[in-house]
Amino acid sequence: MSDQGEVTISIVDEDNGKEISIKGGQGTPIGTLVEKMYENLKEKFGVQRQPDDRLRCESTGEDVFQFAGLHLKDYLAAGHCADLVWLFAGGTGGA
Amino acid sequence: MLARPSPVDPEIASLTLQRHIAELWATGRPETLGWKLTPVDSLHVVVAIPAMRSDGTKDLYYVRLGGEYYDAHPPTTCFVQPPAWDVAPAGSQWFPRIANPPWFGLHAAYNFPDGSQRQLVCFTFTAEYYMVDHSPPATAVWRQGNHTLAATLNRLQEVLRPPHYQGPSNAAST
Repeated sequence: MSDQGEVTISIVDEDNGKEISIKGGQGTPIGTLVEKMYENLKEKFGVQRQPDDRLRCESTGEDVFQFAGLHLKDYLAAGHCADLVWLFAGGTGGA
Repeated sequence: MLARPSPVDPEIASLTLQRHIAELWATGRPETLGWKLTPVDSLHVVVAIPAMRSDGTKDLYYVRLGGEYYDAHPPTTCFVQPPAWDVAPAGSQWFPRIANPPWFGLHAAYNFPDGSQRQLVCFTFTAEYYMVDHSPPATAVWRQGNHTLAATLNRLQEVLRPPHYQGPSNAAST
């Protein structure tokens, strides 16, 4: 996190093990950061958003999509993902 | 129904497997997660993966990955036991108990269509998943070029943590 309030979020694409990062201001909605993530994933790995994608905070395992409407500062203030590492996983089937 | 996997050229499979392992290990993330790599032969590796129970207790599992169908299909995948990397039997410390999420299954002895009975680590990022009749959604199917063995290992790491991981299969249920 920088002094200016800009925040860097690391995202691990668990489908290929590669990492990207996105930046946002304290007032940026989580939903906007998620859109940025998808733009980045599409550009680098050809990933298209799908309904069965999952995005979790690494330290808590908590789903990130549910907080799309929260601003980053509120997301962090509520202690949702202090380490700012998100894990992206595309659809998986099994059982 | 999906087509059954067909073996690929072992030389190419080996190169691809080793390249993807090297790329994954170069990220530093396996070290962070505590994964340890043991090469077995040109087409097989064993990866030690730490597991954590909900009370913080840690256990260790060994997963053998094979490149027989890689990367047209995912790696063959099996929980194994040291020192010879034989298949881990149910009821041993090397076979985990997992409260399966909807996208995962683990069977110690599954009846395969070819008549064999063996372990099945059942999700779309293992080759064995495609040796059994399944009809997964298109978005969950292994895609060569998009998925690597990282997908296999990361999903296994996920189920070896709370809330899914329950402990080794030789321990009392909690």
